[in-house]
Amino acid sequence: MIRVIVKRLLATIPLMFLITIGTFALAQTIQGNPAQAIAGDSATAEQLAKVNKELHLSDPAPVRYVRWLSDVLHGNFGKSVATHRAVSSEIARRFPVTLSLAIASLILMFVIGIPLGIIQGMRPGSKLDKLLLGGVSFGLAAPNFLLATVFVYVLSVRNHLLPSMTYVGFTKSPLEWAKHMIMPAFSIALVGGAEMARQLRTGLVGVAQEDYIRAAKARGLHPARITIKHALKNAAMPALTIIGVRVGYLLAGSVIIEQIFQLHGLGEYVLQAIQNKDFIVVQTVVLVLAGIVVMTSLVVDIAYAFLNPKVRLA
Amino acid sequence: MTSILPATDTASDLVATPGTSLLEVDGLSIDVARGAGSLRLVDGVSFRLDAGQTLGIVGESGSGKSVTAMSLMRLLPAQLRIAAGTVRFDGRDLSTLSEPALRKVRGNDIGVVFQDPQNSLNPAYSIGNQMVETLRAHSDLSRKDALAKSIALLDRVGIHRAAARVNDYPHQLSGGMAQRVMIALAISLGPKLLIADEPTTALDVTVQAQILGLLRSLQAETGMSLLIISHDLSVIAETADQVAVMYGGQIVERGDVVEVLTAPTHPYTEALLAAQPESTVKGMPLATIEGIVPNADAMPAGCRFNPRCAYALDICRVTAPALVEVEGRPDTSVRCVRHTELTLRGVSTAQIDAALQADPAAIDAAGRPVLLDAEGLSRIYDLRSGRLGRKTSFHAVDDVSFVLHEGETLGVVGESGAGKSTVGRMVLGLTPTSSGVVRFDGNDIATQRGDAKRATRRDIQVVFQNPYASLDSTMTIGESVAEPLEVHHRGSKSERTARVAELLQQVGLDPSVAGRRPHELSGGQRQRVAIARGLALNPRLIVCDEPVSALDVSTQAQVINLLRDLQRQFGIAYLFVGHDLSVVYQMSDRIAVMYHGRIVEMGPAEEIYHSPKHPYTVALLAAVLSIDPRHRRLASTATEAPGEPSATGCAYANRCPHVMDRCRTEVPAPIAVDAVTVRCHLFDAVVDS
Amino acid sequence: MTDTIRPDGIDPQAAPTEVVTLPPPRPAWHTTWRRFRRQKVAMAAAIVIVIITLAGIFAGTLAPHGIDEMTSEFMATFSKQHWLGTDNTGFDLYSRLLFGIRTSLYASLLAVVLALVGGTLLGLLSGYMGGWVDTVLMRCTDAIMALPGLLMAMAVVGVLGHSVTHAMIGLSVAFMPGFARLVRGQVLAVKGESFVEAARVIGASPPRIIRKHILPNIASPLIVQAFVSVGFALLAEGALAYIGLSVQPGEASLGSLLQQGFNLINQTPRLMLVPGVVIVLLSLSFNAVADGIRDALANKERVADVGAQA
Repeated sequence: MIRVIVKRLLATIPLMFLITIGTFALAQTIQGNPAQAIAGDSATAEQLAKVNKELHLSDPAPVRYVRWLSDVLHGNFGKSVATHRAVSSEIARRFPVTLSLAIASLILMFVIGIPLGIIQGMRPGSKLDKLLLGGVSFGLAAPNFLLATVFVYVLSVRNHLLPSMTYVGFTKSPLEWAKHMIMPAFSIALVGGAEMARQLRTGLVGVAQEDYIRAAKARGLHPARITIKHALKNAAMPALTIIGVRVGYLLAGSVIIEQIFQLHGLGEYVLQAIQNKDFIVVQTVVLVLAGIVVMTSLVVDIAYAFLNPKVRLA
Repeated sequence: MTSILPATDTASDLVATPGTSLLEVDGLSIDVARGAGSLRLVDGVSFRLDAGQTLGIVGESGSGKSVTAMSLMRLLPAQLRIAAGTVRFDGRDLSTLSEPALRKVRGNDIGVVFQDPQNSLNPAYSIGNQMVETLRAHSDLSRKDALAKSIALLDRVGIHRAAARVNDYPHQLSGGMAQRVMIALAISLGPKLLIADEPTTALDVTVQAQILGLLRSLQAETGMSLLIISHDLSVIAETADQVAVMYGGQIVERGDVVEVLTAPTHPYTEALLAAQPESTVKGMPLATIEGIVPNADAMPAGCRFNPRCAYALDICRVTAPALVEVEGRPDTSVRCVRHTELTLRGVSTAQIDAALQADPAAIDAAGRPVLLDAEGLSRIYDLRSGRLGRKTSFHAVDDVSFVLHEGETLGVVGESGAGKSTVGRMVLGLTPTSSGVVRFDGNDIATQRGDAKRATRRDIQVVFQNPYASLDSTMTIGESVAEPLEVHHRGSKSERTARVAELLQQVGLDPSVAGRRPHELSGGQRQRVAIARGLALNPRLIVCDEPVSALDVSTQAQVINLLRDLQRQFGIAYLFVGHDLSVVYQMSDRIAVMYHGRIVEMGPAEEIYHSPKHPYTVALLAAVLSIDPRHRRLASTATEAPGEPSATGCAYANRCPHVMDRCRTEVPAPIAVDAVTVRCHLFDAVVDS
Repeated sequence: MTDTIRPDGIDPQAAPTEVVTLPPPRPAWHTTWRRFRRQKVAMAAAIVIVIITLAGIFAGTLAPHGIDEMTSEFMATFSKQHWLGTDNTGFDLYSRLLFGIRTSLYASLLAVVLALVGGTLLGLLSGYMGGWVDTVLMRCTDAIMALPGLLMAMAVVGVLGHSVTHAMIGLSVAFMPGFARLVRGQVLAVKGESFVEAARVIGASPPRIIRKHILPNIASPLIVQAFVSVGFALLAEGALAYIGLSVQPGEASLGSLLQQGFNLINQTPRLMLVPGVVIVLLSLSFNAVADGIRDALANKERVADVGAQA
């Protein structure tokens, strides 16, 4: 087990390295003419040269990449080109918002996906299963921004049932936090929850055909015991692995959802930065977001290894 | 001996004294849902099993035998359902019993052992967990007591150091070990009946003998009844008191095992017995059953066996015969209108002895030119194991050398993991060699390039084990057979089509098959197609990697005959890899016996088969089951699971009854003894003196 | 062949088997289509897709008004002249919807085709070559998967300029790892099959094996994945348009219509609901067709297995 974890940890190092290259390249493409952007349209050639020199913009890309990488490794994320504010302090301010949204969405994803998947998987082909399948299909097909808009319109604008367009920290008031989070989180979580339900259902249907389920039945075990103990653990394993991928989509979704609900999180930050051609902010925030995805899949893989004795005892 | 097993509870029930019936199945029919309607898979099956007795159900794939067994406790998949009939067990009808009541019967009164032991244990839980769970589901044992009992049960089924292995997970067990665990689970609550569905089909020959011996010893100890389902007549001949022969979803013959097998009254039983390789003098063609087992959606009218029956009359094509008692043999029933007038041949001791003692003229290989020369072949895989990932290596094939002459067949026999298929793959170039040389026609294959390499490619072809996987399902049969011609740019398109038709005819298929897709053909037909493709380039050597082990016995005989005919006709040499010693013996001029990567004994087929020298070859031969129920070879004793192959010295050391100190340290070198070469320290002395 | 004695007079050569009793051969897709046709939901979805696609293709002929043709009516509701009403600049919503469908379908197909081609090439390379090539490529797909796909699209728009095509090129990069991993897994599974090894023994070259054996055998899961992806691409295009990163002003896509509707939601939900319903319906249909194909193919294999029992 320890070996599995160590091996998995070591594998994230080259991955993170590749991601830094990717984010750097990504930020370069949207760079445009940052000196111009910083100094303003009326800047003189001298001013431009000065900005270029300050930010070493005239150095070749590999040199700038290495410098940026070393800065990042030293915890120095630089300053926003547009606002001149330290990126790290801005991230620190916005991170809780995005994290809240991600955690709330993940929780909702489980709350939606697991019961639906189990109910469907236990009696595939039943009326209830077919009904829920329809719901799951809708969940997979409904765009999160549309859901979000409909929620805002129906629940906030028309009926004033839920607050929107603001954020209340969890530590300030958990109830208010939940009230503010439920609409954006649900908008993001529905797709993931639907996919999870689907995966779990497929898993359970597949496992039901396994010899060991028939063998458990032949030993006279109770059907509920067979489903919960023997089927679920094996069916959950593939469903678990999609969480890692889902977190990536979830964060991508937050870019738009934050926009709609006017939450001042990392998604909104990066979107503004792209519009401002603020490459320093873009590369840093994207790196942070990618880092979250990598860490999640790391945790998921370790959980998988723990569940699966074939991996655990390898 | 104080038994940990509760003897079958005879006191509480009125039945369960020998001679009274424990299980009575009457008119059992099973349907499978197909579209809006349904198809009958099993049709009116009736049999009875007395307390303490063993009933064997035998049939080829598709005969409905496993479905019948699974239906007894209502363990059928959702699409299948019992359409008619009763299953009376111990006074109750299991086919109508409520689910909760049935649950008490399952595991408690009836235990089941499945075909695929490794998949029948839940991979996510330790074996101890699953045993304790089963015990506690049917009794009020404490967790601690249940664990203690589990360990005792594992010990009883021959698992060494049971107290430690109880924490193992299924993937850590070999197939034989897993089946022992399954048996321990099935008998843990002292059932009155044990159903074993193909219990040894997935296992090696020597392991099969141990598992069947274990089952018999457990039966002797507890007095339980045994229902064994098998496609293999010899498994039934070795274990059963009564036998039911199934064909096309019906029982065609039923009765005392000795009577049915020695004096069959149904043509199918006769044909099945005749198709066994053991019944045939080597070199003579094996008896075959024409055609294939019918599918449930295309059952022939009249007698279901009539299209394949050598004795069929017009009436057989119209009238479906009933299962009737044979006159003068109240124990035997048969489903054949002609049974009174036919005298059919059964197992005959004289015939088997004749087959054993015959000394067929082996081809004089020594005079022929050497075609293939393998020298010191090894295949080593690096493994990492242990917490710190220490590097270890695994020798899948270890220092294997042999020659193969033109037109000769060398059989390579061994159990799973012996490396026999890897040897074939190295000759084919599918697995790279770690060391050693393969010379074809005197040229090192590994160094060949360009045209020389293409020429060798043409000369060495392959027939694989699994006829379902060896043809591309997206291609028609014609495209598959034409592919080698296309790759080597042979002929025009029309010439290739003509050649394909010719090839299909050579392997006994109608040329119109060319337009079909693989899934439309049966296993045997597909294997013929694979052979046709192998023949397309007029090869000089065909590597046959277990070509018949996925086939039914009647189809197996057809393919063996075909391969031998083609060899006579075209002078092709075969490297014939197999696990079934009697099949390999039938095919081969010389045999190489492999154990754990090494050839432990090699020589003329007759020498190996009749006077084996290496202790492993001896064990392999001893494990071959008899098809004559009057002369059983199997001991009904439980043996401990054999040791793992030894990492140093002779790999067989941990299992060898003659093991000496030097065996554990020194790898024996090949020694020539009489006509064979053997790797065993027992023969060092012979050579020394 | 005649000089050997055969017991029971049975000669395998003389038994050209029972092929005569088989039904006439059918092309391979025939069974799949028959099984697909039987599924009501999938069939209905396929019809929906066909109708909406035709409407998009013939938008130029079908639309009563041009894409940027302002009418004199503003914020009109459903009427005979304007089936779906007009917006605040006097655009006819029905006409704009047809053009929007065309743009959105073009965009999602573009993204999926690019991702399918790129991902298949990468997956084939990775799966067939194995070794370090595989390791490097798979690490790269991991890295791409960790980057938010929308940002990738935004970046490409940033560098190549504002257009649907550019946004979709970016999106295809985000879809590519999914295809690459699927193909790689399938290739690994198929590569070990006996029929591929038999082709190697014959001497078939790797390109031939890939073309003749591997690609046809991995096609079905790829087609299913492609349909699922079109559904997702529709939503992604919508999202990009929603934040103003897809179509140019003056053009229309389902996403841009939604965005305009969102801005006017306090006046009427109609402008948002109409494109919303279309986008959900389309995306739902693509998923349903994908499910239908998957089931039809799975069924075929199951039948093949049953046949194999005989």
